[in-house]
Amino acid sequence: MDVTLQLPLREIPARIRQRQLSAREFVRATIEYIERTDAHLQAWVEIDRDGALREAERLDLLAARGTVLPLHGVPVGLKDVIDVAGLPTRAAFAPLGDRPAQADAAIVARLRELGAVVLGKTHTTQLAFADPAPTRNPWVPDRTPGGSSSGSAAAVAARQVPLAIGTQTAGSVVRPAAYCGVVGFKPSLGWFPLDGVVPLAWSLDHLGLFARSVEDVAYAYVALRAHQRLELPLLSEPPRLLLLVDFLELAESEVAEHLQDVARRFREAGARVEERRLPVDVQQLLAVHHVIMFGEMGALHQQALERSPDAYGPRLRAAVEVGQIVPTGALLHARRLRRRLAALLEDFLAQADAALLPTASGPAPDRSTTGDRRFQAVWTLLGTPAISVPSGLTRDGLPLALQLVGRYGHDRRLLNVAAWAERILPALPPPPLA
Amino acid sequence: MTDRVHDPNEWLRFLEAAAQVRFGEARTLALAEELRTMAQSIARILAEPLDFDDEPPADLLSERHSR
Repeated sequence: MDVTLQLPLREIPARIRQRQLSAREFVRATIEYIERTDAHLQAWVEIDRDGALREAERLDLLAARGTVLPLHGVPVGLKDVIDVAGLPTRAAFAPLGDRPAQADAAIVARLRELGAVVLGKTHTTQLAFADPAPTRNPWVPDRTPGGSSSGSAAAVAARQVPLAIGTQTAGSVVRPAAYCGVVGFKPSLGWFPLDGVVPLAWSLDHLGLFARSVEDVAYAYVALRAHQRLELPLLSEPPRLLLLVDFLELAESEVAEHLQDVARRFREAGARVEERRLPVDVQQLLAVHHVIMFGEMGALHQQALERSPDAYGPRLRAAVEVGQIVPTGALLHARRLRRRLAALLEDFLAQADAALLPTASGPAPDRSTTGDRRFQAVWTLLGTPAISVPSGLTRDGLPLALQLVGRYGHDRRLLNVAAWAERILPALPPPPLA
Repeated sequence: MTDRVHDPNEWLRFLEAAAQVRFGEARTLALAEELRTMAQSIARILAEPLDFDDEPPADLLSERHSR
């Protein structure tokens, strides 16, 4: 593999500025690497080779005139539920057809404004729910890469692209990130407009980012949010963390033991890590998420299910059908409870810099499923920022990951804590399929 | 229903009846596991009393945006 394909994100515009790298050559090398590696991995639905090379040439001209943007020449993959003008948004759902999107989604327009080069579309599970995508896990091909942002996570893990965008309605960013051994960041609810993104459950849908390091994710996030400083300041002292016992009890033993070992390392590095229980039952939080998610999915698909029942995968169809018979009273009750729980958890999370838990209950399972959403859905429900950071490998060589959760709106603080944690943890090697 | 609102079995009967009417016998059978877990979720959340005046069904997202 061309070593430039492994550059940290901020190095790409820096090298273009110094004329050590041309955007066109970098994008061309990236596409050629994807073409060599994707037949087996299947992370990509479509590569817009011509469009990407044209855009890279334009960026080289811009750089020659002295303008270098924060994501200048950075190739990016978009989950195929996100509109890119001129490309179809298929969402693995045949009724959406092959008609090209008329306009870019808001996140795509912002990425282009920052100089990123849209390479193409990455595989998603059907409509970002739970019927598996064709993508393989780059660590062990017979395991799932997770879902629903399967292609985005696998493409970043396989070094095909340094940055990819996904969506999360339950656990669809942080879980695939964990299974694939990359960093996945779901910022606070509403952090970026969802215009041009195919919805799954509108009050729960979030956009999220995948990259190879916390530094890369933070760099992209800060640029997207138009913060003036692209550097995140380092923590002035080791963080205070709440180790969530509730989730250790639900996790597989290897995962729970691993996270206790991570907590020990953090303590040795000076962090205050306190074992705590959530102030509410995890099952209650999951029940609220379940009723809202399925209820909203049912409402969204009222007409499409009538028209094309056979186009639905079995899991999506079942969820939509059940969602259509959830009583309105239960859905409203769930929404009211959501507000209460968010307030309770806000107070709980305010006691520390972040909560610490495993990102998933176990390592990547087989490809018949996209994995267990329980450890991620809680934070999606509450709208709090959550980040998954690779933390080691199982005895079978599959990635393990920790999840850090911050207070709503304290996304940059959470990135600071994650950057601190990443420095304590051993870096994972590239996966075998990279 | 009111006095049995915490009972997942009661909710399962309700959901099965609704599924029969809406989707027919074969789909209701196919949905058995999903109906059971949804019945548990509904019973669990409705067991939690709310203060009707202080806890309106406002959307969390719009509420957070208005902060």
